[in-house]
Amino acid sequence: MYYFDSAATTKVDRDVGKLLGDLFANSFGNASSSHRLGEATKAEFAKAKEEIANCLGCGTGSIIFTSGATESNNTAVANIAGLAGPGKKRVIVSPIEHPSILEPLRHYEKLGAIDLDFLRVGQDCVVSVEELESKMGEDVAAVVVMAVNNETGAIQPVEEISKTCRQNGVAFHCDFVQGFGKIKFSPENYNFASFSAHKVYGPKGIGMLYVKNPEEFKPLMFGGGQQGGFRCGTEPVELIRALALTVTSLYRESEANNQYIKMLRGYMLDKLSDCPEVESNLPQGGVPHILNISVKGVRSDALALVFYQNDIMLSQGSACSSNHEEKSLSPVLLAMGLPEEKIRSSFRISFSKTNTIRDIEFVVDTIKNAVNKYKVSR
Amino acid sequence: MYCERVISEFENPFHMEILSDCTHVVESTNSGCGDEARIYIVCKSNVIENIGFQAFGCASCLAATSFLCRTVFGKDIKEVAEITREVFEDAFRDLEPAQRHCIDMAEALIKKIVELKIGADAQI
Repeated sequence: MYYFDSAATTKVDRDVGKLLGDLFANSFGNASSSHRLGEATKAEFAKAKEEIANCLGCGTGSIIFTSGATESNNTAVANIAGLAGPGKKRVIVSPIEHPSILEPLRHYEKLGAIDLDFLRVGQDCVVSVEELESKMGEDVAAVVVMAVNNETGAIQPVEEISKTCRQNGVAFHCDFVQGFGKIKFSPENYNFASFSAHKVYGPKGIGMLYVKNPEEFKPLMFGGGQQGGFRCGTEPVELIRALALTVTSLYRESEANNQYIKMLRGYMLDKLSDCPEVESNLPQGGVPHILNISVKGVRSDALALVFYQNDIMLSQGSACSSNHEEKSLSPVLLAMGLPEEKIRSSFRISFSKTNTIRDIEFVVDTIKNAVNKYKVSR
Repeated sequence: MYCERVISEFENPFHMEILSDCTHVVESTNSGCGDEARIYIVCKSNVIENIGFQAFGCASCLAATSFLCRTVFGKDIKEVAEITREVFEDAFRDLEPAQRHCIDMAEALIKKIVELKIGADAQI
C-alpha cells in the first residue's frame, strides 16, 4: 500500500496504538465514579489534560475534549452564533473552510442568528488581511479562518488576522486541524481553535476545542456535568490519554518530521519536473505535507482508477455525480479561480512521516506512465 | 467501486489514438461531468475500416468509449444503426449511478456516427 492521504487521516503511532491496546484491555474506569477506580481514572484524565495544556501553552481550563474536529468546529460556531445579537450579526469567514465550519454557519444564518460575509482568496489560496480590515465594523461578531487549508496546504495569515480581530474587539475562531504540528500554535491569538487527533498519528474519535475564555463558553452537549459541564458525556479517558501521548510526541518530533516531509515533497516535485503535464496548484508557500497538483490532459477521476489498481491512496479533486447539473468541483480550487479543466485534473498528495523515497518513486513512475498512456492532446 | 468491464476496457483501451487519415470525427460532451470524447473514423464504402478515440473523462467514460469503438470496428453503418442503448446497458450494468452518464455519452456517439452517413454521402 502506498498511502498518500495523510490529510484525510494518518496511521496511528505505534506507541499510541500500544497504549490504546493496553488501556482498552485493562482500564475501564469512569472518571465520574466516586470509588477507587473512578478516582484513579479521574487522576489519569487530569494528568493527560495537563500534558496537553503544557504543549499548547494554555491552562487546563481552556481545553475541552470532543469527539473530533467536526464537533469542535460545530461547538465553536454555536458559540459564535451566541455572541451575535441585534446590530452585531455579521460573521466574516473564508470561502475555503471545511464543511464542519461552513454548514453550521449556514444553519445559523438560515435561523437568522448571523449574517455571513465571505472573504476572497487569491490564486495562492490565502485570504487578504487588507480585505479583512476593510470589512471590519461595529456589526461584526466574529471572524472564522482556518490555519492551513486541507486541500492545498495554504497557510493563512492567522497572526495578522488575530491582531486585526483584537484591535476591533472581534472573536476569532481558527480550525487548526491541518496546522497542528506544522505551524506554531499561540493560544493568545484565538478565542476558539479546533484540533483532531487522527490527523497527527492519533486515534479517531477524539479531538479538542481550545477556548480562551471558558467563563463565557456555552456548551453544545448537556447531561451529567462532565468536563465541568462544558461537554457532557462520559469522558473517553483511554482516548484522551492516547491523545496526550499523540500531542506530546507531535511536539517532540514535529520539527524533524516536517523536515523529513519537506524533503519527500521536494524529491517528488524534482522527479516530476520533467513531466510538463504536471503542475502544482500552489507553487509557493504552504505546509510541506500537502501537495495539490493538476495533470494536463488527464482527468483525476481517470487517474483514480490507475491509483486504485496500483494500491496508491490519495484524494482526487473532483468526482462524477449522478446529478448531471451538479458539477461536483472543489469549492476551494474554484475559490482560487482555477479553470474547470484544471480542477477536474487535480488531486491531493498528502505526505506523512511513514512515507519513504521508494514510495515516492513508485507514485511518480505511476503518474508518468498514466500521463503517457491517457493524456488527451487538446 | 469499479466494475470489471470498466477496468478491462480502461486498462486495455481499443485504439486509443488519433487517426491522422480519418474520414470523419464525432464528438460528445457532458457539461455536468465535463467528460469529452472524440472518435476518429476511417469509413470506406459504408464500412468502418478503422477507428480511434481520445477521451478526457472519468474511467467509465474512457471505458465506454473504448467499448463503443471495439463494438463498431469493422461494421457496416447499417449494422451500427442497429446498436441500441441496451448493448451498453448490458456491458456496463454494474456501474454505480454516478458513473452511468457514460452510457448516455456512448449512445449519443453512436447516433452521431449514424447521422454522419446522412450528412456526408460523398465520403461515406
